[in-house]
Amino acid sequence: MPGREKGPLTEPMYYVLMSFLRREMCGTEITEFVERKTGGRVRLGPGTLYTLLARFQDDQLIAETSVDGRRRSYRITEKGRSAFEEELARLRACVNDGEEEAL
Amino acid sequence: MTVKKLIPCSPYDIPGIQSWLDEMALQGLFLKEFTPRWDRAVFELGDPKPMRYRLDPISRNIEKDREREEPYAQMGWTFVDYIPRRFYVFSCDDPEVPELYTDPQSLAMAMGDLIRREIRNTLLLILGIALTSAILLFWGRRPILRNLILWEDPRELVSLALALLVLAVCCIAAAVQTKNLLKKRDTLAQGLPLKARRRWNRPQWFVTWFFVYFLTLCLLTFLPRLFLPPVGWEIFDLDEVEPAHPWPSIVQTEAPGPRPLEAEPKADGYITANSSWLAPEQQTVETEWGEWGLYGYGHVNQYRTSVEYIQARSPRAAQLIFRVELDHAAQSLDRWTEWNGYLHIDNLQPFQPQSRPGLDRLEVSRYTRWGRDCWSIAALRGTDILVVEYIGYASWEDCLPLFLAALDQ
Repeated sequence: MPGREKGPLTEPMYYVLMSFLRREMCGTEITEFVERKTGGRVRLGPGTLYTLLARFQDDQLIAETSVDGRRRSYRITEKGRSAFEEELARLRACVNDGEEEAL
Repeated sequence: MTVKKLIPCSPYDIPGIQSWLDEMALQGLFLKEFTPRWDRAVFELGDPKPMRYRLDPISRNIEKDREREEPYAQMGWTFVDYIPRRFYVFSCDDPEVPELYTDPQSLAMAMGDLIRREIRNTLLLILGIALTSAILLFWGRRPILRNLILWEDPRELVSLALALLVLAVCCIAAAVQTKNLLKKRDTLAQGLPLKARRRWNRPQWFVTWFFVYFLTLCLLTFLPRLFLPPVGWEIFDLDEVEPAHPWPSIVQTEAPGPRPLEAEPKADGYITANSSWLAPEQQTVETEWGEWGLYGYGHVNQYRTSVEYIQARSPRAAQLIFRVELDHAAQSLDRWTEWNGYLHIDNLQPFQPQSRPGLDRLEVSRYTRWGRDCWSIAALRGTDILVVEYIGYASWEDCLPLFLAALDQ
């Protein structure tokens, strides 16, 4: 799974996992969330988005909550939340290290 | 209106195929579909415009893949066609829409199933080829080993070796293709983009297959015939060459038997000679004589002796050759019991070991041919191997000393 066992999350993985922290979401909502959150810096193509969702589901970081026609919604699991927090801590440490050296 | 064009890229060259399709769109050719053999692409003519074509690896779950078509379309990517067992092709004409895969790592992840499938197929191919080769080699091990030792039919051996080589090349090609695919996945996983490979002028599929089959057939069949003789051994008349040893004549072999002959008949026959690295001297002397009689040629008073003599390179090689020749002789006798023809035999007693001073091994088989008790012997002494098949009236116990005496000379 992403996180410590499989190395750091990639930037799209990080933001996709982040998108579930407050509520469950479907594919298009995730894309909009990531674009809004990053000010358009990170954009998700459909291939990237659905590959990551499939991977997160396989790794049990997210779980499917509802299927409405072709629209599928997902929520983050405890495992997913801890993977995100681990990544967040790693990124914080990276930023702190960089700031210490830069100052 | 549609136009067909030969695809100038390998089916695994993701950036190559994508850029070629993009270029075609700029020329007013828009991908409609691929031909079933994936050698040509069918384009629809239209006004030239920028268009992006992108490949999406086929996963193990086709149903889930199909479900993606709609959200992909909502996000600006339309399904066009697929490359069998490898990729779906999507197109987008809006330059503002993000790429299908916005980061290489996610494309690397998406290739996971494709790579696993390729590895499995490659392993199955290698296993299938290895298993088929093993079965064929096991099935033909006796004639192949005999041929290899005695070099009787070099063409057959070279054809076999070439066939195994062709199969090995197929395995290596499949393994290399899979390795290249893994390399591509690793490149993407490192966040690096793939580079398009050089395009090539793909011939029509039937030209390719014709040359593949034709060249393989030439390689396996005609090439050995150009450079190698049809058989390793040469054939001579009885009076053309001297036998390796002065084998007993018909009069001599019949002398100790119940019906000795008064004079040496003018026997028909031939001598074959061959040599190989393990058996530098190989000679077979076949002599036959029959009386014309009421029952036709040869079936009343016919005498026939086949003496196969092999001198091996070493005593160890001689033991191996003896085993092979004994096996060959036993198989021949077995076949003759089932064959309803000239050399048919009955009441076959398979080869049985006998002990005889001065011989390392001696095996004797008895049977009935043309109503007479006949025998075959296989003897090993040092580096000499002797296989005698006899049709006459004398017993093997009486004849063996004559052959051994000849062997001493």
